[in-house]
Amino acid sequence: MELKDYREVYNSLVLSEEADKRILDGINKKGGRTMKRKYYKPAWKAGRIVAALAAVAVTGTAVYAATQMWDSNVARETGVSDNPEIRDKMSEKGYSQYLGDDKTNYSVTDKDITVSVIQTLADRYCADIYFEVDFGSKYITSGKYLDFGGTEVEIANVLPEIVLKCNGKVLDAALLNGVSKIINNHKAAYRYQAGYTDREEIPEGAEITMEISAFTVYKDDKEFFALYKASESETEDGRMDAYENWDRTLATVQGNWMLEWKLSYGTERRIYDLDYKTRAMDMDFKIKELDISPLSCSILLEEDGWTANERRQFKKRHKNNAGITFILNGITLGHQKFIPHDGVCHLNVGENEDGKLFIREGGQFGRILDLEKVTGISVSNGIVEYISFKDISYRTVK
Amino acid sequence: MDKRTSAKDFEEIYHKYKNTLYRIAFTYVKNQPDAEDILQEVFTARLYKAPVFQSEEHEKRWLIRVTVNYSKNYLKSFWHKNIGYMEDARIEIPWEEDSSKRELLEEVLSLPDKCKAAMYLHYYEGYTCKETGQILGCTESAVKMRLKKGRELLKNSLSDGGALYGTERL
Repeated sequence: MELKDYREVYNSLVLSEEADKRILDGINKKGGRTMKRKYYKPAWKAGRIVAALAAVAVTGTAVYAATQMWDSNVARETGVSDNPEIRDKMSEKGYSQYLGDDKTNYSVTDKDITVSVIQTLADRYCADIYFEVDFGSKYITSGKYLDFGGTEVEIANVLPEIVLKCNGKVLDAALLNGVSKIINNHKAAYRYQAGYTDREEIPEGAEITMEISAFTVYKDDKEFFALYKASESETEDGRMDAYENWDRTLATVQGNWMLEWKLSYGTERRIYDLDYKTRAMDMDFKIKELDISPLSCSILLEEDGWTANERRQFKKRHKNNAGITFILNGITLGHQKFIPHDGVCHLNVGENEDGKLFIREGGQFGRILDLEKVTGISVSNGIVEYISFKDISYRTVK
Repeated sequence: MDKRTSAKDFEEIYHKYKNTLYRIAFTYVKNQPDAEDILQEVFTARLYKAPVFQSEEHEKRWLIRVTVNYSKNYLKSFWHKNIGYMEDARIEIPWEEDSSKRELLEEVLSLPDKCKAAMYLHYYEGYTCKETGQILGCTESAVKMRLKKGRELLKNSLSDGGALYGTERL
């Protein structure tokens, strides 16, 4: 390899003008607090996960005294605290499953740490799993997390080593926000969003298995750039295995916390049949449909009048795993916008029965969407386009 | 905003160093969105923490050092750790028509982090081994070892198996 080749390799890595704008805007808007990006990595292969950006504050845990039980934290995080109708509808249609009352079957204790599944929200393609962990006398730390809106929220710096499975098959899963929420000095709450990045359906009567093999305690990361030296944090009974790490790990506790339950999920979805021309990645596409539930959505794009050469180029891009990006910018509800990339996202390329290439992309919402209020979608590939549903009807599938 | 850095000055600084820092961040995180996030954090720090520099070179080295630190921190972060199953994900490399360059870039990015950073600073930015060591916080001999190891790994991984020596070769 010649030196000039090595240099040329790096010469190809340059920032685009759009990237400059994103970065400079992000710096200027936040006045010293960095903003998370507003675009997302493509979910190319099974296992690829995009974590969420929005965060909400947590207080105590209580349960609504309604016909359909809900955990108050779940209601708050999903934006339906003040909307009992939506909560009831979600329960009636099977999207919501409350398990918090049954500590015998949905709670497990090991090493004095108790894990309890509280509630799940699920549709045919994804699940939102909310559980709480009581660390008892074990040492946990808390820290501050800057959410997407720039608000500081208190988090527990304890993360589980977790595997979620559906009928024995590992689910792609992401901890919402990448952080837990502190409830009090010995209790934390976790919300994992799970599904399959190839948009595989969750089978009927699916058994969810949640296996936690360890909890790791981290030190808060407030410093500018820090190389922390860990401190001893062993508990009296010596079960917590403290060790030094150059980074932020304080301690881990190994154990076996496994819970299994049958997942309830809502099957009802709306399909909007569209025929909207758009241009993305320098190619012409037609947006053919939006498939949406209160918890997730997916749009279908199809090639539009491509030449054989364009098709070859696109296939090459796909093969090289580069240059194909998300274009769905959000679901609009009047002036409100729902970002469909909070949990597990999918971005799949294929060929339909007519031999046309298509892209199916979408993902999970961080909050519950009121389908009655959907007014359109926005797509973006440089320029944001708004597609109104004013004169577009939908069909309901179950 | 710090009084010492006007918006105009800041943009000049940004455009002067952005690609160097982007390449360093990309070297570590191997994808564009995360590299951009890191750049945003680095330049935010530059703007609002407003360190005082003795020279332009001092400023450049500070920015490089901070980029390296942020990139390493990112790889250890909650966010990154919870992305999950990253071993299945491929390196995301900008669209590049020339497949041979793309392969080279993949090979370069597949090198161990320690080797990549040292190689980039020495072979691309032109820092001496001593200066590279100062930036990366290691000794000159450690830099030489990393360069040697990086060259050997590249030699083994490249299909042409060409010799990597001489003034015009790595």
